[in-house]
Amino acid sequence: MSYAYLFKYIIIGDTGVGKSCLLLQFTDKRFQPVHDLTIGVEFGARMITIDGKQIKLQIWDTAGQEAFRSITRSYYRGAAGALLVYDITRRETFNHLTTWLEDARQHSNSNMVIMLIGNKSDLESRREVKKEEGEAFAHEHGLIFMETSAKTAANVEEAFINTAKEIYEKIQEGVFDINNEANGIKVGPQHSPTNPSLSPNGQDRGQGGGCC
Amino acid sequence: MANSESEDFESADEEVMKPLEYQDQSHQKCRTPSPEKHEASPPRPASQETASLPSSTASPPSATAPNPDSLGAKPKMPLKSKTKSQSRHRHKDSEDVGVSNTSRPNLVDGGQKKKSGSGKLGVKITPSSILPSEIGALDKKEFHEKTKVSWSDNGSADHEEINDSIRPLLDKLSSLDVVDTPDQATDSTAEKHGSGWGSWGQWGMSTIMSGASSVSSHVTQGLSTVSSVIESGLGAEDPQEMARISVETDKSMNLKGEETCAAGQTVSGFNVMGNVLKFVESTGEMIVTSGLNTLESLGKKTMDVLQEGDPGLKKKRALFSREPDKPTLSQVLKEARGRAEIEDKERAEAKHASRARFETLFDDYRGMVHLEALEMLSNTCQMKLEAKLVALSGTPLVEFQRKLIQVKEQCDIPDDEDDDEDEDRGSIEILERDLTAAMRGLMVPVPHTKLIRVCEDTDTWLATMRCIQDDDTQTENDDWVDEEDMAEDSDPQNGLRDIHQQAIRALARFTAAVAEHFHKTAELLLLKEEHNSQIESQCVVMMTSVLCSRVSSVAARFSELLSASANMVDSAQVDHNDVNLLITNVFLEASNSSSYIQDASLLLIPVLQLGAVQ
Repeated sequence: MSYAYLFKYIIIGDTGVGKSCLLLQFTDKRFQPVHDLTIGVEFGARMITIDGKQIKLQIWDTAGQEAFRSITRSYYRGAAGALLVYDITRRETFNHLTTWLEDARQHSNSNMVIMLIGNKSDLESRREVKKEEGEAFAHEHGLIFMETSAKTAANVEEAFINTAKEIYEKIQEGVFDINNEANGIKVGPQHSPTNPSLSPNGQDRGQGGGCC
Repeated sequence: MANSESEDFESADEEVMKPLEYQDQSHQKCRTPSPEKHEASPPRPASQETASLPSSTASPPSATAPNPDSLGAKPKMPLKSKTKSQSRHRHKDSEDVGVSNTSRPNLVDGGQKKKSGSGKLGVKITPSSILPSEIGALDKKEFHEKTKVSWSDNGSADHEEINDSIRPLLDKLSSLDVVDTPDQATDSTAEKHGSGWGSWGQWGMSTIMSGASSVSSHVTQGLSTVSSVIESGLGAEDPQEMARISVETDKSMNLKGEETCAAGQTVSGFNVMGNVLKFVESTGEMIVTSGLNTLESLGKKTMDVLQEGDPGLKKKRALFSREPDKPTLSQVLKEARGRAEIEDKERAEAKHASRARFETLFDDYRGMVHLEALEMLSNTCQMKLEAKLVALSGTPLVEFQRKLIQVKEQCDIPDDEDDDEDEDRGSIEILERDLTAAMRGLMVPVPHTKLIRVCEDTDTWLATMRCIQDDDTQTENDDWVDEEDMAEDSDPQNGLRDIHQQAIRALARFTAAVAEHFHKTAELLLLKEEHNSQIESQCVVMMTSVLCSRVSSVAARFSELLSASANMVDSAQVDHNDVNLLITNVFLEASNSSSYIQDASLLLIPVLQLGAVQ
């Protein structure tokens, strides 16, 4: 599976907000109501297409439990994008966002694209955090914002792909040094860094649900 | 054009008169022996060719109508009827043909101009190209023979002599044919030789107008020689055929004559024409004419066909001339096919290579990312240790360092593992027992179910293969590979490749599972409150050791399977070098796998050290 770029994502947020479910929905397009507690970190990967380029998203799904906090901090480094997830039905998950954000900013590179995600949008009746609050928080901290539902798959694709687009734009702007793997970006095997316009062979390969 | 033609005619007329007497004699002489000759040499191609004469003779007049040059093309032949005197004379003439050519540039030029004006003869052709094509109708050899025959038929010493004198010329001609230089421009060649269709046309023209003698001055040595040879060769015709042909020839000549008049030729030309017509009738020249006509019409027809859509035969010449250096179609096709085969092979090999690449598979099974995560944890621990180290001094520092070194030493993997119980150590039972013990010792709840499942899958596959081999050694190869997606392949080489592929896959999958296991172990060790670093280190060592043994065992069993499979199939079908290469590769990737496992265990050391100093 050849790719032009590999983006490393990290999913962070309180335990039980649906991080692993978001990943599962994005990689496997399925929903698992009961999910085992994540130990440390789990991984997922999917190929997407942006601007005609195959991009492999390597997603690190971290454990949300406080106990793992010290461990998961180790994994922030080298992430190009982060999905900061809270549960719209649980106000405290929203309240912890600041801590998560500080952690993320502290342990990752400053250019990391952070997407704020208010998950479980399908549970409108149990909503505790208004969409506007999320938007306001995102605006305040310079994040992208979206409400998603891992159960109905609403906005799940968009959340991952929009983040990738943002990262891709930053690459195009030269904000990211693609040769520095600490930025969470790897250049694909057949994709010469000196010639980023060179498109990979498998562009036309229908990788499930490409964007654009 | 008209001017130059008429000038030519006049100049031709002047000199034509002299040789006319020659002609007279020669034709008379020629006439008598011809019937005999004809009888003497019965079935000649020439007589068969005359069958095509009516059609071929009929076409020229209309085609060449406006050009007096081409009108004369046919009748001209008779001039060269070979008496010995004339032949000799001609021979002499032809020997200094260079002189005659250069001394009469007008005529040659005129001939060429006319030639270009005529539809039929519009193309300049070198004698060398004409002769082969024309003579091609007959066979060249045959032609020689015929010539000889006719001479010998006459039974005269003179003929022998003439034949001798002609032969070198014939040889020369044939050599000309062979030597034909294709890269030379047609035009330049034609000019050089001062002959060609133009000369032929001129030849015929002068025949009509002035008779034999002028010919020698216009025509090149080769042509004149050939013409005499032709005449001698065709001298004898079937009398009936001859009569028929003569009538036709006369007709066509009359036609031509009329056309010539219509074309507004000079009176003298007309007179000469009349003379010639009479002359032809009286001398029975048609005997020769018919033969020559046959040849000429055949030649012309051939040329017409050859030149259809290809004026000057340039394309065809180019085609033939480039043949040696230009690749032929079959060559091109062969090369293209070869290239396609190579590409297919490369693609297939690339496919195999990518499928079989340990690193790729290891990555696909997420072994790489687990290792990466483990490394990050390890680095974090190392940084913490260094931070503590910096903060310490004096005895605590020494104690701290002692602990670190102790843990490191405890984690040294003894590399003198006994190979005696190799088989046992690779078994799932031993692996599970040791892993369970190690986990208990480490006191981390990392399930090793995944590792065990991977091992079971591999063992099942290997057992199935061995079972099939043992039970049914006669089975076709494709029967025992149907477990995988290569069932359609009956090539034993592919069967072996699939075993190799399976081996690499099993190793990669196992190594990835080990990486994940170590990663999880490290994470949980970091969460652990209390540590017994000595036990932990021992457990890690034990775990690493048993996992590496497993890798060796798996590699050995796959290699056995590979060699067993290679021995099973016809040795002719399998390259044993390839088999050895595959086996070597399995062991190589096994050592690769062991390296990953040992690296992972080394990454655990800072984690264990951190636990030891807490």
